[in-house]
Amino acid sequence: MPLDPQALALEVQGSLRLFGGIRALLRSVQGECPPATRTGLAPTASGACLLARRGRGRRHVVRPATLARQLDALPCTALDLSPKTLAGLQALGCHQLGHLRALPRIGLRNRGYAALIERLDQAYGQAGPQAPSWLDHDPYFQTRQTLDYHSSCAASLEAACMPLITALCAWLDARQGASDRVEIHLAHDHRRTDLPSTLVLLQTAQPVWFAERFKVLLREHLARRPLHAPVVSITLICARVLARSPRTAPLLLDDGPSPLREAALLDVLRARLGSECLHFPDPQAQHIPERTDRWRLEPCPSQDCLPELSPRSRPLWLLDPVIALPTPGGHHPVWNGAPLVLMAGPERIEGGWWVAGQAPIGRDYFIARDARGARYWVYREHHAGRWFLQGLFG
Amino acid sequence: MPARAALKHPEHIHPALWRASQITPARRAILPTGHPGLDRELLGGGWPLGTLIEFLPQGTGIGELQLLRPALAQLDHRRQILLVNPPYPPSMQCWANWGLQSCRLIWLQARSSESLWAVEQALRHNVFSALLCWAEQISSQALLRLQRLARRCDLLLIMLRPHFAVRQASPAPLRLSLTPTPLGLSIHILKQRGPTSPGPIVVPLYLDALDLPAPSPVAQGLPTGSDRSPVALHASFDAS
Repeated sequence: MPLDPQALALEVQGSLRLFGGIRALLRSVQGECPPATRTGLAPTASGACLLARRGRGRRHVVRPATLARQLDALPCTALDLSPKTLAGLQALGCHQLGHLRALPRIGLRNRGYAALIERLDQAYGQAGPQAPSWLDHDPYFQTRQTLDYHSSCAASLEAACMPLITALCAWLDARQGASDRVEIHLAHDHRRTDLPSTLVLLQTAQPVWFAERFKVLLREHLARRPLHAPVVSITLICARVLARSPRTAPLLLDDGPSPLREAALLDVLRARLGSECLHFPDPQAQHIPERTDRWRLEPCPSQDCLPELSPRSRPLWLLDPVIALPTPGGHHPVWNGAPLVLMAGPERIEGGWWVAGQAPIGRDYFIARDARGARYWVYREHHAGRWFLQGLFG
Repeated sequence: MPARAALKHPEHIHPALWRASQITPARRAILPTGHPGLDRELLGGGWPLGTLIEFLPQGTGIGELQLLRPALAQLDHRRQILLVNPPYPPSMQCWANWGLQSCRLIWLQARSSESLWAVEQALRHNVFSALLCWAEQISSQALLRLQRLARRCDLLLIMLRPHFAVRQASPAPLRLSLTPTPLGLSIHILKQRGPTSPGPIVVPLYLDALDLPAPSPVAQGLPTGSDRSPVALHASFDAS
């Protein structure tokens, strides 16, 4: 049975000894509550609720037999029934709960009073209390603040957003939640601009719940983004609430990298420089040099993404596009006006002929050096015989 | 006399003690460079961690990172290496060949003023094991700021600047000018705490890393069928 929406039920059986008995506990509860609060005490929660709501008579009982006696004396109106049910009970001659209990249960059940019987059983302690149905909030947080002053200054806007972020984090704390996406809408004065509001999106790679992390991101966004008009009000919306995944702190001093700090740094870098500034390796299993390297914007989830080791040396810097080298009067290519001396090679790399619409690749790679001693990775095409510079040994 | 011997080497009593005539002993962690010739010349015997180190290579692609290869391999494997504004995207095949896990590599592309900001953030968070930044124009105030921040962390911080900066003063405690030679690099220590080395140090880089061409048969005194090099042979074969 759902309790009265205005009632607060306390399960005190386990706390009696700590508070020095039922009377002391009751006194302290009454002392804590607002003056108009009415208390009821009974072995069952619904029984206590019914007693608390009665106008006159005893409200505090401890033994189940006394509870049954007190409840029997309550009028049927105490049960908060629909007028139709109440009229039906009146027609049966039931004015008090005791009369109702005296009736045969099977007959009452057949007449459609099964829910009523269950409520009575719960109040009298003959049936276990109903499992509480927890309040299920929509995981959505929105708060709005109208500014006393119109400002487009990043520092003052940041200060104005702080209470909103703090409120969001307190709300997340209460739900043991975290978020990786928070929207802040900066509403402009509509007379000054056509743009109704500017959206600042705080995104993190992993869900976070610390106000400090959001504040750092907000600072970078505000510093980077010019506002077209003064801001009138700020609305903070968080619609993505995820479960927290707290980390266990190490017992001993850990000098390893903190994944949290690393994620925080990457978020800050993305917030200011844009999400496409960071490049993480995503090697492909390709033997053609320029097709091996792929970069992605997020860290690679799997750790075993090493390309195969090559038996030959490979240059660190690959030029894209490759640079065509002239070969004036001979076979040896020239770079920056000086001939290159071939040091090692050839290493033949072929492939791509099986892909339709793609020119087959056939190259002989050499390691060359110039007069200073700097090394280059050059190749000669099989068919055309032209030379290209593809890599530098950085 | 034991007391006199202790006074001669007060650093044995406590690492913070030294004689006024001595060089301050490096209290920072030192990462051996992997090149014995260079280790001998550097104060403390390696790259100092948490110190701004300036590389002034004579051009890109002369082996400036290959010089760091043994040091990078010794770093903490759980932490990442960040490259800020590299001249080209680094080749993962080469990175793997150097024995460095490609997953530890991140590179970042940003405008030059933003890249210094990114370096500052990385130093403040102190999550990387090494940070290499390429900068064309950088003021000495910015370098000083980075050096001060670097002192609080334990990463290998290398700033790669164009070679013309050799003539400019810099607050970096260690500055190296790198020049290519046929077998590796010729390194001139422009500045470091303590005495600087008189001449350039030649660090061989390519002895084991490169499959050098086999010595020509003429040099070995063997009979030869043709005096053309293998390259020329191949070229004529292809042309026929």
